[in-house]
Amino acid sequence: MTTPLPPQDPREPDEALPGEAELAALYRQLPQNEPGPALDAAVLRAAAQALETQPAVPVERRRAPREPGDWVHPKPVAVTPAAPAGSARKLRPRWLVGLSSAAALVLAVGLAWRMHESPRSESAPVASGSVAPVQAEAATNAPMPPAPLPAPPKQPPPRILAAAPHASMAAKSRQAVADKQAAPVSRDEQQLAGVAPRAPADVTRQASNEIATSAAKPAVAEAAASAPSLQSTMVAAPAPVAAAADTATSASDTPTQELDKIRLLFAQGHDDEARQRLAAFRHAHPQWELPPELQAKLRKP
Amino acid sequence: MDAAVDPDAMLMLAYARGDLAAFEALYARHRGMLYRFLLRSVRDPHRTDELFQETWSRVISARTRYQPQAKFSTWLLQIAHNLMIDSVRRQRPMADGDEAEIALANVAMPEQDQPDHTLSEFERRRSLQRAIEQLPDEQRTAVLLRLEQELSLEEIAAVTGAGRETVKSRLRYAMTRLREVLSE
Repeated sequence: MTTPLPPQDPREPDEALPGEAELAALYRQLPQNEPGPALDAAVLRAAAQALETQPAVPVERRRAPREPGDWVHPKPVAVTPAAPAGSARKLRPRWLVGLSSAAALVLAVGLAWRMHESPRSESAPVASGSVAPVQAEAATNAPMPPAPLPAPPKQPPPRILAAAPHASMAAKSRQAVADKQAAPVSRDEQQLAGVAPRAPADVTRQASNEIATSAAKPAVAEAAASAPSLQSTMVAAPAPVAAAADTATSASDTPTQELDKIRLLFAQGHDDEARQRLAAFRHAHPQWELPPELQAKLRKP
Repeated sequence: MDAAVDPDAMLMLAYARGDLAAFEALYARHRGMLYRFLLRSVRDPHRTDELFQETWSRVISARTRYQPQAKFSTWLLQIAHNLMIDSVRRQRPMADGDEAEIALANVAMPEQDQPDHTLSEFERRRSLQRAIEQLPDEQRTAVLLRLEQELSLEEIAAVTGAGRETVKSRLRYAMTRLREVLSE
């Protein structure tokens, strides 16, 4: 049987070893060597530079109450270098870069969408020396000239009539497309372009007429080539534009001009529209004596 | 001294928070004892300077990780001891007895401690100094930590990495040898 010894306190003062006091007294008489000034300066300079290059972060104190003597054993988080502050400083530019990238992307998509939409919705007449682009622009969204051109009363009907069957078929097939394209044109845009507001029927009619004139492009080109005037050489095809404008309704038209346009419509094969306009003319001018051929057209169903 | 109320630990924590004056006070308190411990252990002034500067560099770089779980002096001497062991392993042999005596004798001493002040005291200090130098490394380190730093057995054990009883045994052998030299 052994009796357990009481636990020894590690902080208990050590017993003095034999002769230790005498040796300690003699040891303290040894030269008290110390580092030189240069060594002191080097160490202190290193300590200062360490603080300058990497400024120490204040120790984060715990919010919970401490136990007695616990202040010397801070939690590991208390002595952790201030990574959050540094990382926040590093994250800030990355956050700005991300935001600016997203803004640039949105701007680019918006511009692309805008540019994709603009050819269909905006009118941009392009001056060109070629005939086809001008007519294509005119067929889609070219504004009508503000005033009717002095249309020649004697339009060369054979050339237009020659192109009429083909143009009528194309006009029927593109009728819906022309309606859709003409519909988005707002009243404000028309006013900005210097064009009086027109009825949808007029727009449709204009589209069909312009398709017809585009089908008659070879003949027009011949006419333009044979014209001696300088204007006809600079502008590729003034005649088809004038022909297309001849059939459009205009408030400034005299009754005679309106009847000429109705005749032109009949000649182009647009009998329904011509009859409608003829009926409207008869309603607007009941006392006007219609020519016999137009009276026959009006009576014919 | 309990680590819980160690003023050196408070100074070290203050330095870790950016207080350079705290480090200067800490350095002033321990520069002499650390330097003497190194000089009497390695017996080479140049290596002593290198080890002294390297020890404080380790302290500076470890300031943010410092946790005062022991006395600061114990931690400081532990760093110095480890560096000294590594240095001894890399650079053998150490300075012989004559070189060490010259190195230690060249250090300026107070006027009242000059050898001609009292011949007997000088002879006793010289004998003690040579006896310490001739001790085995482990015993010399234990004696220096005990006599210079006045560390306890546990603290010496913590610095050297040896057990308490081992340290006690080393101290007994070393002090017996020193007393024998002084009594001759």
